[in-house]
Parts: sequence; C-alpha cells; structure tokens
Amino acid sequence: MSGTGSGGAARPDPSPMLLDCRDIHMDFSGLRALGGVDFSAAEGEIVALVGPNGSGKSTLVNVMSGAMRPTSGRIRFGGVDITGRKPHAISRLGIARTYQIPRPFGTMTVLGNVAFAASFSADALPQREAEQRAWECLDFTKLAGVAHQLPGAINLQQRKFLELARALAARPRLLMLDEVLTGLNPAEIEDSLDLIRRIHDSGVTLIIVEHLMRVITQLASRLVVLDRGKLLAQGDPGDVMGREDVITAYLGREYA
Amino acid sequence: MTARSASAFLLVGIALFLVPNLREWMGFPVYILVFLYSTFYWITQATSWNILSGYSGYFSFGQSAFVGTGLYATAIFSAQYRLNFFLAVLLAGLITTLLALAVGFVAFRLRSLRGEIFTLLTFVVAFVLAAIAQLSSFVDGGQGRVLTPPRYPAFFGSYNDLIFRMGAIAAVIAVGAAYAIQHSKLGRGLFAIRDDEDVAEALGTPTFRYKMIAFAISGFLAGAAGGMNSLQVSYLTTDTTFNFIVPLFVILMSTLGGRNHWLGPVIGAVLIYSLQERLAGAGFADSSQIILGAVLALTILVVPEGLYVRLRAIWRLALAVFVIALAAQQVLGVFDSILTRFFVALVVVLPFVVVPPRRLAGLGWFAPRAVPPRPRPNPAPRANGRLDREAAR
Amino acid sequence: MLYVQTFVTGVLSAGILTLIAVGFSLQWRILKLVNLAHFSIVLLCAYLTYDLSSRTGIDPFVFVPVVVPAGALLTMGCQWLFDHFKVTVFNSLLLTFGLFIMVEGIITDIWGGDFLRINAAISPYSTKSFTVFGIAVPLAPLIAFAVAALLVFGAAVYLQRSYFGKALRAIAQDREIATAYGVNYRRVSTLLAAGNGAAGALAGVLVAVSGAVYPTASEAWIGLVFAVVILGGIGSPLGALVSAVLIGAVTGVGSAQWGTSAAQLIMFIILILVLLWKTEGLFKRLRV
Repeated sequence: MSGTGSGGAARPDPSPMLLDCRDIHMDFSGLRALGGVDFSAAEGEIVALVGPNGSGKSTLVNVMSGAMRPTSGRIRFGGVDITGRKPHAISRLGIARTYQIPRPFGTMTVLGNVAFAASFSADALPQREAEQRAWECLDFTKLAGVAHQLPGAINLQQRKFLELARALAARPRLLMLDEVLTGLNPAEIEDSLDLIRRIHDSGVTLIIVEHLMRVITQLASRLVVLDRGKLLAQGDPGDVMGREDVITAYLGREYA
Repeated sequence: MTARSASAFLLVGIALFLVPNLREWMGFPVYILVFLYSTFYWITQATSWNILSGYSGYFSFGQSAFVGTGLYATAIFSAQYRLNFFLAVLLAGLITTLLALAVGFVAFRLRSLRGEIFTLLTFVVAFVLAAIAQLSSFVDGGQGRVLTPPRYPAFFGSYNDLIFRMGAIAAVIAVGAAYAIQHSKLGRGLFAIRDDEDVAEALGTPTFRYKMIAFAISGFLAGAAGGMNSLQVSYLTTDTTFNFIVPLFVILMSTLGGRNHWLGPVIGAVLIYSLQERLAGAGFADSSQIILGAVLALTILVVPEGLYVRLRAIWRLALAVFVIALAAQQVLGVFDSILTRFFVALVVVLPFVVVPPRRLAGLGWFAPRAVPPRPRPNPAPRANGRLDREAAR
Repeated sequence: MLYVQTFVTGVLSAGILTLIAVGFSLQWRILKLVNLAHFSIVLLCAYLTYDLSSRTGIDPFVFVPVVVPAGALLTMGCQWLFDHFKVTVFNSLLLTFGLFIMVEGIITDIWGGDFLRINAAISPYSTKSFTVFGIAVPLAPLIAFAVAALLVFGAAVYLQRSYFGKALRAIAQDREIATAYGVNYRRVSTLLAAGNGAAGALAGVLVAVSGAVYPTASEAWIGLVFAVVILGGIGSPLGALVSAVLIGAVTGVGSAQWGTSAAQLIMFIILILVLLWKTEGLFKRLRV
C-alpha cells in the first residue's frame, strides 16, 4: 500500500479535506436515519465506514452521492458546496460509487457499461475514445475476457468488478465502495483487496462501507463507526476497535 | 448522425418523393399510394412514440393527445385562419411540443413510481384534452369540425401524390431522427435510463433533461404528423381523434417490431397496418379492436423483446421465404391484389421469425447468426496494468 | 340548497369509485402491477349483472353470489398470467392495455354500443331516493357507499391484524426477502387477486344497479380512480375512501355548476397539484 493514505487521519486542520459533511440529518417521514453526522475524508485516505445494519451507512453514502437530499446539513467536496445538487452533477465533480448489489445496465455489454460511464463523465469522451478507456479499465479489473458478454452472463465477483470498472471509467477523485466484498469467497476477497489497493495506488481517495473486520484493519487508514444514525467513534482502526462502546454497539451485536 | 447515414436518409427521401412520377411506368394503381401514405403515417407515429417510450422505457398512453391536438390546431390555423398548410402543420407540432414539455415537467420530476405515474398521467391528459375540446366552441364545442382540402404548390402533383409525398417526408424525418438519436449520446443516455435510471443519473446522465428532450421530439413528430393527417380527414370529432386507437396502434407496432431499435417501429407499423387494412378489406373492421388488443397481449407474453432482434439474426432466411412466397403466388395466380399477396407473404414469413432460433440451426447459410461485436480497436494489452490518470489526459 | 344537494350526491358517488380503486391500488403497491384489466373486469361484471337481471326479471342483488365469484376468478386468471410469464410492472401496463382494449371490443360485440339500463320495475334502486332535511338521498349510491365503507374498514383492520396482511406488507417491502422467509408469493398474490376481483365485481353490480352501462364507461373510471389512488396514497384503502369522497364532492359540485366536462378538468387539476407537491398522497399514514 502506498504511503499517501496514512497522513489523513492525523492532520488537525480540517480545511484540506476532500469531502466534508457537517451535521447531516436525514429523516424519512418521521423515521430518523441520520441525526447530525459529521464525516470527512482527506485526499488519499482510505476511510472505512462501519456500523450495524440500520446504523445509517447506506443512507450516508446515498446522501454524499446526491441520491438523497439531506433534511439538513452541508456537504462540501473539493471546497465546493454540493448539498442538494443532482447526482449527475456531483458525479461530474469526481465522486463515484458502487452499489451493494451490483446494478449493471442489463441490455448493454460489459464493455458498453464501462464505456457509458466514460462518455458521461466530466471528460465527456466521444464513443471511440470512451471504448478505448473502457478497455483500459477492463484490463485493470481483469474483465477484458468477458468484455462482449451481457452482465447477466457473468458471475457475482465479475459483476462486482464491473461496478468498480464502471466507477473508475469516470476517473473519479473519490470512490465510495458499498460492501464490495459481501457474498464473495475467500479467494475472491483476496483478489478484490488487491484490486482495491491498486485503485488506491492510482490516486483515488476511497470510502469503504464494509462488514469484514479483517479487511478493514488491512486496508483502512481511518475508521468511522456509526450507530443508530450517530457518529459513535472514529480514528485509527486498531484504537477504535479496541473501544468498549464500539464492541458492544457493533461487534457485540455481530459476534456475541 | 454521420454524413454517410444522413445522405442515405436523404437519398431514400428523394427516391420516395419521385415514386409518384414513376407510378405509371412501374404500373401500380393509385390506391397503393394511399395505402403507402397510411403506412408512412403509422411509421411516423410509432417512431415518435418509440423515441421516448421505447428508448427510455417511459410508456405513454397519450399519443392521441398529440395527434388530436395536432389535428385540431392544423384545422384551426389552416381552415379558419387561412394560414399556409405547411406552416399550420409546423405550428401544430410546436404546440404539441409545449404540451409534451408540460406533461414531462409534472411526471419526470417524481422520485418514485415515475414510470407508472407517467403512463397513467398521459392517459388522463388525452381524456381531459377531449373534455376541453368539447367545452370550447373555439376548438370543437361538441359540434365537430369540417375540414377543407388545403391549397398546395403544384409540384406536389395530384392530391394523392401530395399525401403520398407528405407521408414519405414525415416518415423519413421521423425515422431519421430516431436513427440519429439511437446513435448519439442522447440515445445511449435514454437506454441507460430504461435499464436503471438511478445508476444512469449517478454516472453523470442528466436524466431529467434527456427525458424532456426525447419527449419534446416525440411530441413534435406526433403533433406535426397528426396535423398532416388532416389531409385525409374531412370531418373531425373529439371521439375520432382523442381515442384509444392511436395509442393502441403505436404501442402495438413498436412492441411487436421491437422497442430497442429504430427499425422496430417501422417493422411493426408495416405488419400491423397491413393486418388492419386486410381485416377491414375482409369485412372484419368491427373486430379489429379485439384482434389487435389480443395481438398486443400475446406479443408481451410471447416475444416481449420484439421481432427486430430475431429478424436480424435470420434476415437471409426471412427474405428468401418472402420472395418465394411472392413468386409462388404469382406462378399459381392466386390473390390478384398486390396488397393481399404482400400480406400473405408476410404471414408466411412470420412462423420462421417466431420459432426458437436453435430449431433453424441446420440451414447453413440461411441459419440464424449473431452479429459479431466490434473487435478491440488497438490491442495494447497491459494486463494487470495501472490506471495512469495523467498519461491519459 | 343546490350546493348541499350536489355535495351529498357527489360524496355518495365515492362508494363505487372506492370499490374500484381499492383493488387497483393494492395490486399496484404490493404486487407492483398496474392492472388496467381491473377496469374491464368491473365493467364485465356490470354487464353480467345487467344481462342476468334483465333476462330473468329478478332483482339484480340476487346475482351477487354469481357475479362476485366470476369477478374474483377473472382477476385470478389475470394474476396467473402475470405470475406465470413473470410480467414486469411496465409490461403489465402494456399487457393489460391490450386486454382492456380487447374487452371493450368484446363487450361492444355482445351487447352493442348503446346505454343499457335495468328496467326500473326489476331494479327500483336507481330511481328511488328519500329525503332528509329537504335533501334527496339517492338509494343506490347510498348502498354503494355503505358497502364501500364497510369493506374498506374491514380490509384495513384485517390487513393490519392478520398473517395475510403481514405477508402482503413483507412482499411490498421486498419480495425476495419475503419469499426467503417463507411467504408463499403465488398463494398470497392469488388471494389478493381474488379479493380485488370480488371488490371490483361488487362495484360492477352497483354500477349496473345505479345507472346505465356502456362499453366505454371504463375509460372514464381510469382517470378518476387514478386521481383517487394518487391523492389517497398508493396502497391505502382508507386513503382511497377519503380521497374518493373529496374528489366526489368537488366534481359533484363542479359538474352541477359548470357541467361534467368541467368536472373532469377540476379532477385533473387536483391530480396535477398533488403530483407536483405531494407525490406520496395526502394520507400516507393510512397506508396498509
């Protein structure tokens, strides 16, 4: 792993933050999903976002990608206020995401899916160059062999990699990975970890939502724990995971 | 659209425009011109529907709202205000464009159930427009409207030549637009919206704008073509314009032909209009509603992807069977009408299209084949390579 | 006084509307199907009632035990089609649009295009009314309203309490997870279809009892029921009743003032306003 990610957590000054969420509230018709969350990621970090089911992780990802508009609070990305902007505008600023359950375009080939992202990104590549870049992304994710298949014909790991390839085709500055490892076998997980590291090495800041503790300690430079819509703890993964309240809230419920 | 395909469409347009000049030399009767006009008209309408509903998956039941508004607007501008007919048709198209934008503005902003609500809303719009036309004596007032044939430049030829040429122009414009959209960024965006709108938006597609543009183009084509069809109508009533026949026809044509491709509505329109015409010719006009409704339901259940995909795989076989069927009728001397022979040949081809492709695998050159994908343009394999952000820029 | 009268008549017209809307609404929310054939089945049941009653000269309500199972069976048949061919929500729109058009043609073929009415000597309900404080209360719509109110409250309580109701909510939330936890989708969808069909058939009987039937009647219902369902919130029986009363009252008064076409317009404007500002309907809390 490259050293670029390690400095982010310790930095005291909040201004160089790439992504900065302040006091995010999110209510669903009376149900509170997020109750005043502060969250940030510095350039080059790998931030792991964890918490038990229903703690608001996915909601936070949806809010940051613009899929949901927060009830209150502000989000800044690269110094620009992006609160309430439409998802396509946010994506063109350089935020990409993957989905927990892969959501490829079913009628487009694997190549078509990735080329689509390249031509609709801020670079707005014409079709031929978009396909060129798509091939590069497919090489990177080792999907070139199934480039002409439809997404329905490839396996789960390949579909998860397709999500990654499609997100990378837009050349994002920040990539949010929503449970990319869930449902994969140990060998596939190793493969995926390698890929995630290579993505990070190419200069992309990562936010990973994950359940597997082993993965988090291996990858993350900083850990953020959510519980019932509130920020419970954050800091160095080793320190945070040793804390009593984190174990009861999260690990306790998962493993006890 | 590339210069090559644009000139191809232009050439087809010019060729069609010249057909009436060559009619006597080619030796076919005038009613064929009228039949072809109607086919062109339905190709235009089905293509208009498909540009929004087929490409983006937002099904509209409100095609008659555009057709009816276009007809009434043309009637008012052309017959009442003595405006130039062609100008009146264009104005009618502009009005229906605005109508489309208004409906789209309401429905496309919704966050959930957009598709279903859009469909039902378009359904209601046609109904309410009919009610407004009934109320307003300026438009209809429940009395209906009498139309008079417009004046037109002499080079359009006789009245039948005129309608044929207008229909051909409309169809070439509509199909050309559908082709251009399918091969543009707009088209790719619309296809992505159909597959998964949220993901399309998250990847940078301005989904709202794209849907509005597609609906506006669709509305313009439908309204202008509807206005053009006033050439064939002598008496307008709200019942005969704002009805279910138009949406049924365009949905059925596009779905049967295939909604994912610009050629789908063309194939569907040729098939369904011929069927409708032959049904009427055989005295089954009253039952055609039942038959067409049933064909739509069956299409959804049996070939939901439409015939285009299958035809593309077996076009050699389909063409051969079609030619043989035509020749056989000529040799046997059955069915003296050209239209009937054409229709019978279509019916003979149909089983080969619907049969599962693997059953036809043993036919050699005629066997179904898939279209090969475009090969990798510049094979520079850097397996396991890095994504060089700077290098690529 | 005219206002009060038209208001009362309008409110009572909500009965039939609610009976049609509830099934359509539940099927949309829970099974993710937009079933336009529902309207055809209601109309078919109305014609069936007309036909049986006119042929035999017996009171139309006697045929409820025949017509209601017929409506339930027809709807179950449609549901079988949806399930067997795995029809998606958008294809369900196109498929049932085909069926809708087909049934309209079949009805015209069998019964003709004219307005048909059960002879008043056999079915006195459509002409009878009684007077309360100088307001005429028509009998047939009153019966319809009472039936609709009973059914809606019954359904709301039943769906809130029963296992079946829980299964429905689970399917509405996430069909795959619900089936993974042992909910039998085919059985639940078939049962729901039967219920929807039965309610629709009752609406059909009441349509035939309270006035004339004609082949295009179902076209007018689609707009009204759509407005009712959107206003009341998709999947909410109580919401459907409340919004049907609202729409009935407004269009009732409106049509007395400015004619029936204007009432259509008012209904439409309400619908557009709700879609623009309150998409989830006005009565979301009342959802099953």
